[in-house]
Amino acid sequence: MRFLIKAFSFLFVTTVLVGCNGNGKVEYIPVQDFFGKPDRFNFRVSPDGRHIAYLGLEDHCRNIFVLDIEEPDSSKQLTYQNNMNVQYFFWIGKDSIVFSNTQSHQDSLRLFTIDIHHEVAQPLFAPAKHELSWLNPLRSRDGALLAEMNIRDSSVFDLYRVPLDGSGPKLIELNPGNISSWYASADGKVRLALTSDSVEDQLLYREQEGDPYHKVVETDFATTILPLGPVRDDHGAVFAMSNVGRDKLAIVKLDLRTGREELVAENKYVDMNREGYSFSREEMVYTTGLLNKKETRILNKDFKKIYSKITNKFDGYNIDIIDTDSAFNTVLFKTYTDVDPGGIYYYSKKKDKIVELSVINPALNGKRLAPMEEVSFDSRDGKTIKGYLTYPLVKKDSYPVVVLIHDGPNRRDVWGFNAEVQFLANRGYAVFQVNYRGSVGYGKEFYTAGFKQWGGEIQNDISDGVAWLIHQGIADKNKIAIMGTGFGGYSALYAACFNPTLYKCAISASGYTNLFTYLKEIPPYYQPYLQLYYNIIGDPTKEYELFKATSPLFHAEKVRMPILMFHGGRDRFNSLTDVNQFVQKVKNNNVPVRYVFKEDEGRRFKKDENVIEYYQMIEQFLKEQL
Amino acid sequence: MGNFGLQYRKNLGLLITFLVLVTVLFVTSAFFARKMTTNFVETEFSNKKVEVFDEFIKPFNDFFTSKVPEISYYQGYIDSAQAAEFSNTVLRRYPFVSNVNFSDVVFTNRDTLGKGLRFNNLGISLRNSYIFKLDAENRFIGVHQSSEDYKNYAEDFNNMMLKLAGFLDRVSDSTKLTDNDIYKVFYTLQPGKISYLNIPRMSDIMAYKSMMRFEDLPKSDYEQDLFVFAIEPRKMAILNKYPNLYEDIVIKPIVDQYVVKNAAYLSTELALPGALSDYKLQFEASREFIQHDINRRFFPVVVGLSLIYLILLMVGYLVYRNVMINSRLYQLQYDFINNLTHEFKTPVSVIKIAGNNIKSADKLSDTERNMYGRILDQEADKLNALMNKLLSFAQIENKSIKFNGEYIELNEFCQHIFDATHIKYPDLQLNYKIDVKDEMYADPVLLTSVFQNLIDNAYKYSAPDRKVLDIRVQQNKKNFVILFKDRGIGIDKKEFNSIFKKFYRVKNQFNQQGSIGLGLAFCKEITAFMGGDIKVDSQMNVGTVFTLSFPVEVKKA
Repeated sequence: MRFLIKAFSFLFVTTVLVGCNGNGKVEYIPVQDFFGKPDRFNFRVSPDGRHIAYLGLEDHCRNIFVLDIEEPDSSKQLTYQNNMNVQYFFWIGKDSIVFSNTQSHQDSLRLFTIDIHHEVAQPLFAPAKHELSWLNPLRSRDGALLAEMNIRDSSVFDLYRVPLDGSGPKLIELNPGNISSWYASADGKVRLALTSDSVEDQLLYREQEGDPYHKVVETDFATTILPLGPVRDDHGAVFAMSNVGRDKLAIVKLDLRTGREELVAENKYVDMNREGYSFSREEMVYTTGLLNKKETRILNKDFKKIYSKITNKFDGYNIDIIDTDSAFNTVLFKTYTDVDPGGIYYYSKKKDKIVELSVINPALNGKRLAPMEEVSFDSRDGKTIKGYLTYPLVKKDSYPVVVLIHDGPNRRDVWGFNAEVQFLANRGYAVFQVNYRGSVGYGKEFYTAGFKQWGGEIQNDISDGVAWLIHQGIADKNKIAIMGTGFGGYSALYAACFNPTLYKCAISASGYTNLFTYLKEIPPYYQPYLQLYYNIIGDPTKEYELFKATSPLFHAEKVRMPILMFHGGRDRFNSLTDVNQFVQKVKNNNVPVRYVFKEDEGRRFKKDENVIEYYQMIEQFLKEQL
Repeated sequence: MGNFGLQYRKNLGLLITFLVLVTVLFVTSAFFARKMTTNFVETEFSNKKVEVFDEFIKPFNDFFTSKVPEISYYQGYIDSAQAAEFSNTVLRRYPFVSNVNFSDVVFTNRDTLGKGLRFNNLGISLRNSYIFKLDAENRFIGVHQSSEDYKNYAEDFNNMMLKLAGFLDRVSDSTKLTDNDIYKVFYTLQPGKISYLNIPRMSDIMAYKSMMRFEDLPKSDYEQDLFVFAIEPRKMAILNKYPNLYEDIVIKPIVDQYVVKNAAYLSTELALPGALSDYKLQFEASREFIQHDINRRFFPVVVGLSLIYLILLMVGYLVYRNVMINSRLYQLQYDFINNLTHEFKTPVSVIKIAGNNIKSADKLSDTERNMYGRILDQEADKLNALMNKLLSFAQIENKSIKFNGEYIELNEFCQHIFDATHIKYPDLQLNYKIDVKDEMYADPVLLTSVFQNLIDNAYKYSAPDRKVLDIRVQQNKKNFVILFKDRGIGIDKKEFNSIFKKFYRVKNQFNQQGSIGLGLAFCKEITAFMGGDIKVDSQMNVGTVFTLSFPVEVKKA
């Protein structure tokens, strides 16, 4: 028996080795290996850098665990919930944590504080049916935290102080109706507020609480000014992201009294990322920008030494700093590349050591994955559009291509490990991702160019990208599929209606079938938001011709290519009646439609078995069609 | 067994029975076929209406299942301009929609409420209402409705909103809009009218529900669209798919208070569904009309039956004819054997008598010896000739004879025969004329026997004072033609075909004996054998002409 096991394990090892070394044949990786979820996540460093707390699975529920860096033996599980997930948590002091049990937007608010030594959870206030958003910095000041809550009126958030002793929230400031958020200074006073009617934003400042606000800057809906946090020793200035007067978002130091900006970091080609500010140090520790790969500039000298240690160890990797304490005793970071999902590590200054915390997607460890490269092409009106192309490992003259459209449109695809892309590449398809106009990260002009261009210029960018790919001889022009979720699904359905020759088939997950319904999702009391959407998509009453022309539902009878459609019962941007009508209309033309409906899923499938089924069906469908 | 005579039997009774049976069968099957056709047509009449109905209802179903739900696509965003555009397409594409009433409905939790309903905190009010129709010249008209005008439609509005309120009452977060819910809540069907409220998204329905239940919600307005289509079923087009079955298809009110005076011979009806239910589809056909269709269908059946009947009759006739021919043949053979026996008996008995006489005579004088010698010789020749004839005929029949063809110089050949004939029949007046250029290719022995036979016949069947034979030998482009023309008793026209048959003898005074009915049959066989032809023409008591013809160009085998 033992011999047999040995023999088998030997066989197994050799096959794995052969599988790894063989260049000609690419190992077939099962679906679940791509989409495995990590069992430890949400790592946070305590303010003194001694502990790392994270969420882990215990009793099928997410619970908080605390890792003691100095004495690993005293690491422990902090919460013991067995019927409810911990949704989020944060350190409010070196020994205490606030966590939430609220399961969804509809669920009531359940917040607790817990001391990591006594392990007793105290409710912050009685469960309540309203929403809450915390104000930074998330540290206890005078035994209380600041939060915005809509207790008074569900459509208006007021400013409250939430004492940690459970005595219940205290109202500090009434919202006159137009304030969308407040920003606290380092001393816990609130001096800065952002008002918004979505078309026009105003940044308001006051010297002292109780004083009237005065306007610092005013921006239109395309321009952003986003305060990041206070500047040390200066209540009259904040670090902010701003594209006022420039195209790309830059990191600036904003003088709130004069409204003048002092440039901290910017990039000629891309927006700066919203990272690098440290609340505990009240300074910009580093700045990043996403060019082909991530570009990081370290501004803090102490941190520079630590960062170079990390880069030495992880050469060629993208590094995301997750969290650190103010003294940089412990630095949490994540590393990854396009072909390596990477892991989460911490650097301990005391031990001068990098320790692994969690491997992301261990099932893919040691597997050969397909590299991703940035491409760029010109659209028909001369705009330079960037995208990413991932070739399958098996080389060919021309590839069957899956055009993977990102959701949004106000998002973007980035360089790095992407499970969906790697899954498709492993199945032998080249994956083409397009950062079409309207995608974020490429500046104001590029973003606003996508306004009211759903199905218009946006779709043209995608089609031009595909045409370019065919022209380059990369794509096999008879084997191109278009696929996406949300907006990407909409784009796929739109292509099914209007680009019948370019694509062989279309896959839509929660693709918007009807833009009227999509806009309906914004409740009428969010008038300001509605105006913003009218600017981005269009006004359904004034521009209903545009809506009719660009909603796939009105053109279902034009579809001639096979479609695979997924729809979750809780997807609020699509109505079931619309989707059913669409499917029925397409079916009436004898066009093959495979339609999968999961009642208890939302816009993106979450349950493991549904995710696996989702990708298995995609695999099957693409195999049949390409 | 022994009782059955071996004579040939003709049973005409059997044939007659067969005929009668076949006829009876024909008549009854025709009768039943007719009956079945009638049944079939009547069943078709009541069954095929469904197909006509399906075709008829198609545009309505299309309107109801495809066009009406399109309203929901707009999610309540329809304003008067869009409504006009939508109504225009509907009115033009579906002529049975006589007008469209569009109402912009507002769901609100504000206190201000125009005309409308209120359920707890949820107010449902009418903001605007339009009526769209086509005028007599097919121009599209839209009229804004004042509140006075609207009274006509208040009932539809109220009904719809009551239903919706009831639905809001029982709906919960986990409710899924089923097709049944949609049909029951958002459609209202009344005879002549379809009301449709655009189907909101589930989250909107939940919002309405909370607006209804809770007071302190943010004030909001939701827009919905209500359409009321007036339906006039009589404007629906009827396509008579079976013009042979249905003489007339009409749309009639379901309640018909007029008593039908002249009811149609056949009629059937179908009630119309849903919004059309105050009308029915009536199918009618008169007796003549349906008769015509029955006949049309019956015709091929009866033709088929008749054909079978005719074939059976034909079979009967053929059987009859065979029986008759066989019976004649049997008779002929019987006669032949009788004749032959007689033919053989005479010379044999003469020989026997002559032998006896010689035996019993003490002394024979020279004259007597000569006489008996001549008699014996003659009778032996007769027997020999008879046997030769039989043998050669049998040979011809079996095709065992050989064709020894050679080129015959006809002048010389005829001269030989005529010289011999002079000697044989000194009392026969023989006239001949030979006019040929080429030599004829034939078997001289066989040709001689044909000549001999025809000359013998001419001599035999002529009265003693009219024994005249004219022989002409001619040549035309294709054929040698030899005519034998006598002035004998002639042959009846009816027997022209029969005389060339074996054992057939024309009954007359000249062939009481010494004939076995083979001569002409023999001639015909031989001429055919040599590639020629023999024909007869005759007039009773005037004379007979036999015509032999042989081709000039002979294909040698």
